Amino acid sequence: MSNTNTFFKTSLQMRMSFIFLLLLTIIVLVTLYFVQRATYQHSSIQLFSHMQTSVSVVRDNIEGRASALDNGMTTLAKDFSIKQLIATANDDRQSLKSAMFNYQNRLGADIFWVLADDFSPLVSTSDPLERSNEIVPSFTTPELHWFSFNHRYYLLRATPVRFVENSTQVNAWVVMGIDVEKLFTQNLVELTNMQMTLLSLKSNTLLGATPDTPFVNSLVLPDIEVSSGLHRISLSSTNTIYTTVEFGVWEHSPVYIVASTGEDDAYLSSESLIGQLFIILLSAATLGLLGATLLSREITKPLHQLIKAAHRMRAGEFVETFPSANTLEVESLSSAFDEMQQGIRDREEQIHHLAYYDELTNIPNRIQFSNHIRDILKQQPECQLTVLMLDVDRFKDINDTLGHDLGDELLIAIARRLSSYATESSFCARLGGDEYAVVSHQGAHDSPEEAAEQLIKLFEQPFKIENVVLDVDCSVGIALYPQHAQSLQGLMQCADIAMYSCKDQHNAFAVYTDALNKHSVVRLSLMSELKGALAEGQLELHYQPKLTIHSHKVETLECLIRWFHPEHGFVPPDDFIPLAEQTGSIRHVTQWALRTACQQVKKWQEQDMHFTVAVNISAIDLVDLSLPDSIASLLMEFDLLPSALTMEVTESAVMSDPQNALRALNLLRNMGITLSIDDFGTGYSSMAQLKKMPVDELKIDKAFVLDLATNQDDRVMVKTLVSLAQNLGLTTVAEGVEDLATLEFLTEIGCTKAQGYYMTKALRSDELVTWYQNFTRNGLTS
Amino acid sequence: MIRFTLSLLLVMVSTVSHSSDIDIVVTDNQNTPLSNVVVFLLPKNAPVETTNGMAIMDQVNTQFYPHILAVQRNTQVSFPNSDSIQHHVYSFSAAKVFELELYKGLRANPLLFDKLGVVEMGCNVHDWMLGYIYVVDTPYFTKTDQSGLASLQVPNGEYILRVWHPRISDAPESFQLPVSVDEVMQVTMKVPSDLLPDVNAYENSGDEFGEYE
Repeated sequence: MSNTNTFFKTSLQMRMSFIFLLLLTIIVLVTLYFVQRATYQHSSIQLFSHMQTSVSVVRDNIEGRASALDNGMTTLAKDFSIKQLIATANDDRQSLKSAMFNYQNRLGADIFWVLADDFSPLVSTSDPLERSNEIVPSFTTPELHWFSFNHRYYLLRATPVRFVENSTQVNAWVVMGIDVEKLFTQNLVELTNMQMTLLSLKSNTLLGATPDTPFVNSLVLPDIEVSSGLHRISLSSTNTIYTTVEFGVWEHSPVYIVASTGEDDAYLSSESLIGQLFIILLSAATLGLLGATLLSREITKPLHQLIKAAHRMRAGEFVETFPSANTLEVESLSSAFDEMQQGIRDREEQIHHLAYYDELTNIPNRIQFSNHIRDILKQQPECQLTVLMLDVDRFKDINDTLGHDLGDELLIAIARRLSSYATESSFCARLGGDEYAVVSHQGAHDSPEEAAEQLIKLFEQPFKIENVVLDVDCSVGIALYPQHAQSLQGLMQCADIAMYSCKDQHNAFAVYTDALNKHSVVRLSLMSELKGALAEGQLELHYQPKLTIHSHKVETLECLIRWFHPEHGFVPPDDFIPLAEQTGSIRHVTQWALRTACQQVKKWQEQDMHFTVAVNISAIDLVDLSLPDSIASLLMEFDLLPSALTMEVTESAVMSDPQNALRALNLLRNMGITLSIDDFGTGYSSMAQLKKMPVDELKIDKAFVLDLATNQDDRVMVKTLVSLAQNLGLTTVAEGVEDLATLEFLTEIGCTKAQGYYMTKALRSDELVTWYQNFTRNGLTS
Repeated sequence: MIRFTLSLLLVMVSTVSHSSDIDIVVTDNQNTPLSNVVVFLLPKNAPVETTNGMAIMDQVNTQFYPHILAVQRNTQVSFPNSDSIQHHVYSFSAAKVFELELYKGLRANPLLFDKLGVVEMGCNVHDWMLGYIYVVDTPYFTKTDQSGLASLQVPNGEYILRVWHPRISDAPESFQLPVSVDEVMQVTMKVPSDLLPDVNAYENSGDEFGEYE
């Protein structure tokens, strides 16, 4: 989780409040919408119903007027005196007219006509009717008839007059009308709370209307919808809601009554309802928000406590109590935290054990041992410590012969004994493999030697493992703090060096000395420097002549490698050659030696000195089958005959892998290179092998030669070896010839060549030339 | 009825020589015989004898009795009131405008009907009362019986046959038939137009007229 992300993250409390608010807003809006819609629909329905009722009331009212007029006219038509007046109208119109005026007043009518049976006018209030024969009978039907006359509109009724009531014959017609203005009065508005407008949509004519009707402007009339239901129309900046109902006929087309009301009046109540609802919901939202805040606080409080606890856990503290809350989730989260802490603790212990204890023996391992010493050094720098490093001798052999399982059992048994040995003042550990270490405060034992002896004593009793009784020896190296080293690393190194030194010396224990250290340090560092040393020319070849005894000539030389280290000075070959063999870098050394030797031989040849140079080949070189090829290419490069080179191979090198060694030797031999067995007599050469080997020369080890002048046994040995070689057809070289007596003895027994300080030590090439020139001139007398 | 027959006989006796019976059937345009229809023959050439006869239009059970009365011109018609209540009989018809104000019994004097045509009568007290006096200019008139048949005995000669009934909308002149009478004969007269609706069923009830069918 990066900081930029957390920057945009809000707290749970805020988020919950936000979600609550959002939900409430949605609820409020949805509720508002539905309530608004429902109330609108409801009030629309109510309004519509009200309008229909109003129209019905108006219809009732007007039809009542029409019906009253009808009734009056029927009475009129049956009035005998009116009948008489009509029958005699042709003679006396004025009487009829006056009687009719009387009736008009009685019936509340505004206009009348009396027509004869042929619709010819008899008397009327004003002008006669046109097309009276067509229109008058229709005015008798029950529906409402509207009529325009002299630019005014009337509700008309007609009734036939029969002189004899039951006659089939109509004798006259009476038509009466009520002015529309008298019908559509303020009274209707008060009755219905609606504006009523009567209009004909066919000719867009306003027939009549209650006062203040919004439809006075006849321009809007075409926009009026006649379909059932509520309609809205915008009239002079206010919205008018209206409904239209068919309301009688005028000139054969339907007339409509429009019941209307202002939209504000119609919906005022619903709007105020919405306003109240809005206030209610707003306060509900406020309460909800408050609730969300409280609720989220309830949740976040233990969360914050848990966060704090987690931080403490991260810092490595053990948190005793976790926040408890009345919510199950927080409760279980708390217990999960607790379990997690316990789990982490358990695993830590497990890891700690894995990290600091040896898996096999269950005693502390190297890391804990180091930590232990480091802690002591830190806490008590003034103390004195004895570090004993222990290594089981020939453990590899035990492992190889008895198997790893038994080997492991042995290691466990050793660990057990060491543990029993280790007291409060000492601490034991297995460092790895068959290495153990014990550290104890000095003074716990009288001396480090005594401590070592006590340790070795642990191994006196043989180990009995799975019915096998094992006599185990060990090597103990001892290092002391602060005498030998001041650091842990130094102590361990010192102990290690001491331990290895006692292995070399076949002692049971060794106490560290600086001499051991130097040696080993050089040894360790040399290997890393060897390759660089080759390139930098720190190594040189020195040549030691081999004197051919019977001819008293020097024809062959052995080249010996010399390393002049810029820091350590001369490094003896015994110090670095075995190491080079172990690390495999001997190949580079051999290659370098071969090349340098060839170069030198060539140089001498050019100076008219013809030597055969012997180069030592290691066991690794021997089994490396590329050696013959590289030698061949070197010979080619320097234009040398194979006889210019002799390869000296130690007996043990051949014996380590006889098959491959023989193959390589045969290849070299076939090339014409002389082969020599070095250090003959020290190894375990089998005569059968020797017989098979394609060698030309045996070099008798200097161990037999050095004391040859005095030691009778050596004389016998050397003599036997020489005669053996002679019998096998091999030449012999004796190394380590240091005096004339030895040389004489060798001459006596027929040894082929002699090499040693008596002639000269190994010399640099230029020194050798000087020596050789002196030798050819003066012989060995110098 | 007796008086009515007597008056007929008087007419017939006065024109006794060479007369023939004529049967006239009046049907509507659906060929249904019509009853109670006034049937009269107007002589074409011979002058019509005038009369000073009498006829009675009674009021029984608040109805005119008979419903239709055919009379020759100049007949005196009396309006006795057989009911125990008062009637106010009147007519505004052009043929005879009269008014017999509230009366009972025989107090009213007979009225002279000297104009041809229909006299439609009503009672100002009882709106349902409706009666007709049809004044013809001939002594040869009668009404069809229930089977729609009218029989007349008339002197041989040329006549114009006309019929009248309040339900027949056609004017009698518009569908008159010339009839030449010299022996017993039968004539069927069909009304061209549909009958007017029988509003009051005056002819469907009462003893005298009975059913048409």
